[in-house]
Amino acid sequence: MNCDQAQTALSEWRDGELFGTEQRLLEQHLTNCFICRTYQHRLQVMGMSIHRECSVTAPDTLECAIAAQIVHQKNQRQSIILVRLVVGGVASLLGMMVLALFLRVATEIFSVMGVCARLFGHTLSLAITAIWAGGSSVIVWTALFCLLFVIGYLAIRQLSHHSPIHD
Amino acid sequence: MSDQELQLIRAAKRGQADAFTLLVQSYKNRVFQTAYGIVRNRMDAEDVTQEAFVKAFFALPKLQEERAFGAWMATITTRVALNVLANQKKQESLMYDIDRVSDNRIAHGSDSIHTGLAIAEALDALRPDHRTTLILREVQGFSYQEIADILDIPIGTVRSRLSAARAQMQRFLFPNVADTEGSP
Repeated sequence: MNCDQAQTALSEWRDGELFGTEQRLLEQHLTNCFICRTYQHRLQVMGMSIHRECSVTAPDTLECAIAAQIVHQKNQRQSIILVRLVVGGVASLLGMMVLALFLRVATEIFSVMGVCARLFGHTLSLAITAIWAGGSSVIVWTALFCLLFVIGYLAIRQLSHHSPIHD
Repeated sequence: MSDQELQLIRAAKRGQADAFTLLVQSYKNRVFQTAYGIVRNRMDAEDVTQEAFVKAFFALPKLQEERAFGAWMATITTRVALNVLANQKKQESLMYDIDRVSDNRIAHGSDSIHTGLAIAEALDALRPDHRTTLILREVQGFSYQEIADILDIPIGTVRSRLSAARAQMQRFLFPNVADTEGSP
C-alpha cells in the first residue's frame, strides 16, 4: 500500500468503514510512514474542528416561524383545493357542452345520411339515436358530469403536486 | 430512537400539532446544523430549516418507517439546502480564489485550524456535494449506507466524496504537507 492508497483508506478507517485485509495493510503502512500518521492525526483534528464549526444552535424564534408557516400553507392549500374544485366544475361543464354539441351534430349528420344508414340495417343510426336518447336523461348527464369533474380535479392535482423529497 | 420519540412521530402523523411541535424542538438543532454546514450562513440555514420542517409536516403521513425519521429529515434538509444553493448560484461565490486562500493561510499561521476561521473557509471552498457528504458524516454521524440513501447515490460515491473532501481540506489547511508527500 502506498501513501495515496493509505490516505484514501484512512478516510474510511476513521469512519469505521474499513475492514479485513485493507485494514491490516493500512495499519502496517502506518507503523512505517510518518507522513500518513501525520495525515491521520490531522484528519482527527479536522473532524473535531468541523464538528465545532457546525455546532450552531437554532434560534428560539424558529419554532414560532415554523408554526406560522404551517398555518399559512394550510390556508394556502385549502384555497388551492377550492380553486381546483371550481376549475374542475367549469372544465366538466365545458366538456359536457362540447360532447352534447358533438352528439347533436352527429345525430344531424346521420339523419341526413338516414338512407345510407337504412341500407346498413339502421345499425349506426340506431346507435347514435340510443346514445342521444340516453344522453338526454338526467342520470346519465349527472354521471358524466361527476366523471369529468373527477378527471379534471385529479389532472389539476397531479399537475400542481410536488413531493417534499423530490423538490 | 427512544420509544417516546416514536410515540411523538406517530402522534404527529395522526395530525397532532403539539406532537409535531415537540419533534421540532427535538430535531431543530440537528436540522439547523446540517443546513448551516451546507449553505454556510445562518440566515439561509434558518430558511432551509423552516422549509424542511414545513415540508416534513405535510409529508409526514406518507412516512412509512418511523424509526428512520432522522434520516428522512436529513434527506429533506439536504435537498432543500442544495436547492437553495443551486437557486442562488452560491457555488461560484463560495469558491475561493487560490491566491486569496494562500494569503489567508499565511495570515492565519500554522495554528489557524484552531481558530475556526480556516475551517470555515476550507468548508466553503468544497464543492456543495462533497461538503454535504462530509457534513452528514462528521456532524450528523450517519453511516456510509445512510448517507448513500439520504443523497440517493451509490455507497462507492460516498467513499470517494469523503476521501476527496478530506484530502482537499488537508491541502487547504496544511499546504506544506503537499511538498513533503510522496510514496515510500
